Amino acid sequence: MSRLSAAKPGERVRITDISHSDVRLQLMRWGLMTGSWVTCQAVLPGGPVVVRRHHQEIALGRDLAERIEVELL
Amino acid sequence: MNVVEHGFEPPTARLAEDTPRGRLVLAGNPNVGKSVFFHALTGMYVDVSNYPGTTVDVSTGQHDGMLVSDTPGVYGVGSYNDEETVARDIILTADVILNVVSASTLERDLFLTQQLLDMRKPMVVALNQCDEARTQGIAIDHQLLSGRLGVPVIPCVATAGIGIPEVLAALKQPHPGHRMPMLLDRLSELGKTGASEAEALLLLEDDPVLKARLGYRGVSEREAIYAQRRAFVDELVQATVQGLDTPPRLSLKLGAALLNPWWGTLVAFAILALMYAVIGDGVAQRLVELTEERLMQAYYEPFVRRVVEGWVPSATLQLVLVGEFGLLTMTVTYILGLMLPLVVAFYAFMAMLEDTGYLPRLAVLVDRGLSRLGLNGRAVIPLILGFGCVTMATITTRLLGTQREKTIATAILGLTVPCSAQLGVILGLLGRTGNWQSWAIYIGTMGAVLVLIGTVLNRLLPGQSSALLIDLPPLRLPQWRNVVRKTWNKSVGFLAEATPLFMIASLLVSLLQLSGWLNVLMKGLAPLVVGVLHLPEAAATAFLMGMIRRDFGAAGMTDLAMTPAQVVISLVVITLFVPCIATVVVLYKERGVKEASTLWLGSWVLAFSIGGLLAALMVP
Repeated sequence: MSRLSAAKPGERVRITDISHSDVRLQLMRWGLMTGSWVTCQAVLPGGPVVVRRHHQEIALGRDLAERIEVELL
Repeated sequence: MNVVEHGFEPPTARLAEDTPRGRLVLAGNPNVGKSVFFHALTGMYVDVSNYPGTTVDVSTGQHDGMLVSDTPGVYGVGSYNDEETVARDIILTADVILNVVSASTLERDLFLTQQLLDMRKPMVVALNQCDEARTQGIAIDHQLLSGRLGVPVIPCVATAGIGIPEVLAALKQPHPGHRMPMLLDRLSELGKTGASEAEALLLLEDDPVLKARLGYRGVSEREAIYAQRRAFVDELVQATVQGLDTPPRLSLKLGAALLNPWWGTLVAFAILALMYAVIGDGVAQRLVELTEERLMQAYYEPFVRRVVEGWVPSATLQLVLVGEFGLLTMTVTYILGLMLPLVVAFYAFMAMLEDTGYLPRLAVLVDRGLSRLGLNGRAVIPLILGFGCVTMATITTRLLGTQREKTIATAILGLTVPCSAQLGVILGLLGRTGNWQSWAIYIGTMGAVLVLIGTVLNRLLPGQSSALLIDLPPLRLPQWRNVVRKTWNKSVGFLAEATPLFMIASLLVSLLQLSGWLNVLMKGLAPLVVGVLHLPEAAATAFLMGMIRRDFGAAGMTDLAMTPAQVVISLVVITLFVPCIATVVVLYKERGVKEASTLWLGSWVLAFSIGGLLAALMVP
């Protein structure tokens, strides 16, 4: 179990918890929820994390990425 | 009824004819090509944008006896931000909905589709951007999808006109479609309270605004409904879409390169350089010289001056209308000769960048830096626009998420960002000093002040700034028709909003001049300029002129004999000093009296203390 902010580009991770409720709802609209598999697309040093599911890319600020728990494949 | 014979139209008959047969509402996620459908339906122009927040204005028109309303692009119906509130209120009034979805992001887009079906609105789904999906290897069984949703689903490539006639035909027979089965009991229960079916769903989903409006106090089931809808849509996509697992290599690689700190920064600088070459040099210098000096000041102004002086006897009125800051001279020249070319150029450039999907990636790249200033990556858009026109950029701060972000961005814009009108003179004067130290000191000082303002405000202001949370649209080539339409709409919108403000501003200045206050101020400022800043006395006039138009101020410097150190000091002061009077009027309108006044007074303090500090260090 680790945080999304610690993921590395190219890694496949499964979301296990999204602690921020507004973010949880917005991500559900886009197609991501607890249990979803995503590919880490890019990590800006000290900055946002970009994840991809199928053709959809989503950028999350560092603070948000730190509040999302993931597990590695 | 025969209009010609009677010579007039009976009002009742006309009313009956014009009464819309109902309300058709366009709804969809951002950037799915909704505007093309609106255009096809109504023949009117409409604004489109990648970036949520730039389409809060709503366009309406008529089609086949129906009133057609566009809505801002949203990912769901709710009260998450301003656009959603606007979209929700329009959707609630809809008799028929045309839901535009993108074939390449169906998983995302169908969430809104299913939510609209759950609201029990008769609907037609336009499955747009099918060409893009095909090149990505996505295949959709649209007939199966239509059967599952219970509404017509029509494949389209709207930009090429493909599918649009079929959509128009289908709109004559819209269907209410299938709701999620879990909702049926709960909704019929709520229906007894008198809320419409659409309202009942939003009450269940805990929409705070609607709950307050209808006085509903039930428990929220939003999380459970959202999760079930997501699972429902995912299952639907599994059954009807193929080829999701093989995303396109090229656009992904390109997208990844733009997010790489090295390549991304390189591209960002290349784009800024191109922007400077085209807009900063080409438009702000060369084209504006033609439109402002050779056309407006050489032909238009003398003409209008002659006309007014011939017809208006009062000298006071003459001064207000065609004097140095006249409503018919300076204001008109300013708007048509200077603002119009600049604003069009900037909006065209931004429209192109928006259409390619580059801007959200730039926002990701700069997010870390901007978050230290209490902003997030999205603030890069007003900041870039500020180098064109701070007034225009201040209006654009509306797209930022929280009040504190709007305050911080506005302060940075108003205090430290030189607009293009001023930038030309600044660059010219720095060039004339002939040494690199002048450039380094000017740029270093301005950069430091920008960081200082952001950091301090971020500490002082209560609350928290919003974090970056955006979806990155696929990279694509700009659609020229889109760019032209967007540029036109934005430019017209800005000029319509700003022209009265420019008028008020020039009126204020004329009044200051008439009452003699302008002279009093100049005399009062002189000791400060000589004593603290170690500059020639005439610089005071330049600073005060800068309050009216920032380039007036900088241009006034050109004629003064100054040492390189004095040039740098005066340029730092003129940049930090109060924004031009048009920006000030926008400031009061957007941010309120307290904040605007604080910013205005703060700029005096900041300009003279930083300038004084530099003077103490540089002038012996």
